[in-house]
Amino acid sequence: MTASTSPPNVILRRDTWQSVWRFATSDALLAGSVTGLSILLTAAAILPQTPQGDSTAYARWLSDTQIRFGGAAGALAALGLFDVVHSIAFRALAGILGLTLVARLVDRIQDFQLASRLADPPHAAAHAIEVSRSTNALLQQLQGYRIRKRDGLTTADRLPLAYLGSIAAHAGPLVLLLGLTLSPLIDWRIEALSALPNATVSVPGAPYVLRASNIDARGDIGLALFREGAPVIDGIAAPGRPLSGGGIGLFVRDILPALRASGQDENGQPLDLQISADSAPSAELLLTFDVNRPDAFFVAPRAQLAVRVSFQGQDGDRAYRVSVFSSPDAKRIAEADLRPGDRLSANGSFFEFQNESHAVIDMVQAPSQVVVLAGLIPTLVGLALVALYPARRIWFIATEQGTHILCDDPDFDLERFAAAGSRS
Amino acid sequence: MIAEAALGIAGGALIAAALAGFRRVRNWERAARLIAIIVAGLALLAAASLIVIRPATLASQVVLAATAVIAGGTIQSLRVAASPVALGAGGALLMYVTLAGKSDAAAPLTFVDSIAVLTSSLTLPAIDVSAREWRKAPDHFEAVVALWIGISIALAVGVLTNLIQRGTWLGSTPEAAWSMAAWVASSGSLLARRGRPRAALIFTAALAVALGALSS
Repeated sequence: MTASTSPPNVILRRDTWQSVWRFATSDALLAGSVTGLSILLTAAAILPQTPQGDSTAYARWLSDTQIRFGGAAGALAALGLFDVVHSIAFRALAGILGLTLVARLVDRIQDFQLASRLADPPHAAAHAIEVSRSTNALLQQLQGYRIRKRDGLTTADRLPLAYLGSIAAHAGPLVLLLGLTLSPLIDWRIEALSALPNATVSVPGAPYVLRASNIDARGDIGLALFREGAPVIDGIAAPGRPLSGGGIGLFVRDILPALRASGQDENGQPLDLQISADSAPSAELLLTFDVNRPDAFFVAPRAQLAVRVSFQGQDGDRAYRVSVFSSPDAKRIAEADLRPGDRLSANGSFFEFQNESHAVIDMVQAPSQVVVLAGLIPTLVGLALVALYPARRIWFIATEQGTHILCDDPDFDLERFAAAGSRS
Repeated sequence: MIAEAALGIAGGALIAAALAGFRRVRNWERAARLIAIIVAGLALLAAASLIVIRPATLASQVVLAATAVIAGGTIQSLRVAASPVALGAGGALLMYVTLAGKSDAAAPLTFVDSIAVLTSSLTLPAIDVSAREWRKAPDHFEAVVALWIGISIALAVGVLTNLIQRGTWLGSTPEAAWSMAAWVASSGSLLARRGRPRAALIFTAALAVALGALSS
């Protein structure tokens, strides 16, 4: 009794594991995870994503999303749709994709080992056809195949290149996913550092100091990066022309408008200008502008004047609206649209604005990019091989009527193959 | 924009319904081929003229009409096997809309733009392949391979540009997200065997390309 019941249990257990394995390597799981990732990336294209590392941009994004989505903003944020790449759903789908790629990679390696042996055709080949022509005539039509013969059975396969391509197409994305996983752990990136001409700025959260020189008309800027006084990077950078050294890259994201403001009283004496109450008075001030900060303010305490400068230019044009207010009654006493080099008078005082530029710098240390690149190249090469030179085996069995052909690739059109030969 | 898109889809559905109804009419095949040839010719002419004229913006009515015809062609592809000429017409219109979206009188067309334009023209054939594969009918997978090559080249150039300019793999623009979604799905379709999961992946990739083109 025991002997008669044991075998079914064993078979059942083996079937369960096989079912799990079949599911792990199935096209349905691959398609499900990939489609899910694509849908989330599509959501990232439609919904505004949370800006990282720029508090002003974040405040503006927060305000815009509240206005645009109203009460739904909270629900969308809870679903992680405003920060798709860091959402749990995205990471879970990437994890599932990684698991299925590992299982499929094992399958591909096994396929490679099986294909390297001269085996009989499988019982369930993708498709088969009977033709009246000889095997030798059919083989002459094949190009790029390795031919092997044994006892009336001939096989044509694409070993080893096509099979290695298939392995690379599965191993490459795994390395790529590994690089993307390592990225938040070992990379750091400091965005939107404002580099002012002939000024030094401490890099927040890192033991570095960045010094910038003048920015010329072509957008070239001299940058020097120091770590504890020792130079790490020194050279000329520009948008699209980064500097690198010591594993760090300096990228000029943008060259933005700035104005050097100065003022004189009715006697021609320079006005002491201040950007805030606690800043030191200065004869000259550098005002910077960007898309999130289109307005700049300064005061001239001795002349009892406050000045607002608003950037109004578009497409490289630099135009400003300058408004002068009296203090303490906050009455507007002058307003004009100016260009760099223009002067504005108010209550007997003069303000002059000279053209300047400031650069937005991204500082990046990303060793994970090497891992990502090491995954991306085999992925692209492997997928190209899978697309243009897919792994395939064709069996030719000589029969009395001609040849029985079987193929394991459902995309290979056996009928067209046979017809092409008969036409020629 | 949402209202225009809704109108476009509604218009496309109407066209598809009309086409499906016309199929019962005698000589339908000849009439459909004639309409498709005229639409394809006009779309190609419009796309070619955009390269010369390069207007700063495109009238929204034109985009609306193009969207309607593309949606109609898509639905026709999904309902019945569309003729190659009809697929070409829809593809050329999508190419036209993509090119119009990328038109900027001041800037020349970049290499990535050219690839995006060509890739968008392959969208409708890819949807047709997806529909055929879903119905387990013979298909022409080569269209999907061409779509993948186009998306891959555009993505590779985009990645290199971003690496040089910002030190990141992908840009933060919606276009980068569209192209990544399309590339992931089309790459997955190359790894899957023939069947419905692959059909779903091809459809997702084609849809991402189409939506990216229409939103550009």
